[in-house]
Amino acid sequence: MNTYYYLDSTNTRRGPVDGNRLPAEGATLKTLVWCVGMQEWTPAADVPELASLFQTYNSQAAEETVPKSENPQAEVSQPMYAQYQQPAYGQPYQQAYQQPEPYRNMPPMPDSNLVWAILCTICCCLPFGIVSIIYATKVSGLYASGQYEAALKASSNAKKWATWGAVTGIVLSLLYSLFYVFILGMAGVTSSSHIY
Amino acid sequence: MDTSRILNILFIVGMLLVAAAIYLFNPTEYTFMPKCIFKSLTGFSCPGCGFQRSLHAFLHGDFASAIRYNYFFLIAMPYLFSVVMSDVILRGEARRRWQRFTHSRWVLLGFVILAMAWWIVRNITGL
Repeated sequence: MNTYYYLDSTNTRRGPVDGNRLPAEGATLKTLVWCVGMQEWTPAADVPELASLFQTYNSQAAEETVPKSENPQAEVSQPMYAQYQQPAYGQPYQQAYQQPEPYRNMPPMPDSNLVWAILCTICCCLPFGIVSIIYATKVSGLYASGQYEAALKASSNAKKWATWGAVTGIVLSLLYSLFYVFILGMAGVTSSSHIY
Repeated sequence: MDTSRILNILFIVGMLLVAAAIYLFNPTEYTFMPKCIFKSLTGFSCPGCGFQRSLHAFLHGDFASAIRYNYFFLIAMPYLFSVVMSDVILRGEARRRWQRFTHSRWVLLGFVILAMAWWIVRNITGL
């Protein structure tokens, strides 16, 4: 089983934890998870080994009334794990200022739909494209300083504006072309009625 | 194959279709090629005005007029190409290395500032 990061209900990054522990940590099939080697945050349901794990976990939970106390070792190791976690989590955060790239095992930089933002700027759905690029400028900086959640938020804003720009642009261009085809069609009808 | 990969392939196919349309139909001769909404409404050029004509000329090997239709083409086209490389085509370590350039705050801000500057300059000088 791989070691996973996951986003809790407040979109805060948690982990790394062993995949087997995810159900006990309160993750569900809808929880976004990531491990080294994955391109993007993915719902646990779409990760094969987790999907099957959750299935067995859920059926166990349905059968047994107290599934947690079944494994006393896990209960004991939890506080120790929490103690160990605290300094380990704080340290690389501070080091981020000296070392530009200490986040080898951090999730990949969140996507900002930058291609669409650039296309919008070039193809004159300009305002949306510019807003999107401005949000995108924040993503890489926040990501580099380890503020993953903030980077994620900025990237989702950038994505939203880029998407709206692209949709507006494509719809308007199509409307324009259709409008012209329609006008030409009408012109064709009127001119032919003149002839006959 | 995961959905993001399929979307990327669809995106590349779409881009190639648009490029093919711009290659085949000269935007100055065919009225159905989309026109700039900003220019139709205000009469001023936007930073992207002339881009279809530029791309048409570029695809036909006429680099001089490609640049003359829109000088911003010189900056926007290479940048667009590198963003497509970093965000759509490449994976893994190479993707991260390209993104360090294409997504860097200064490159992005530079692009926005240049676009704005070009917008003002072209409307004042009529370039």
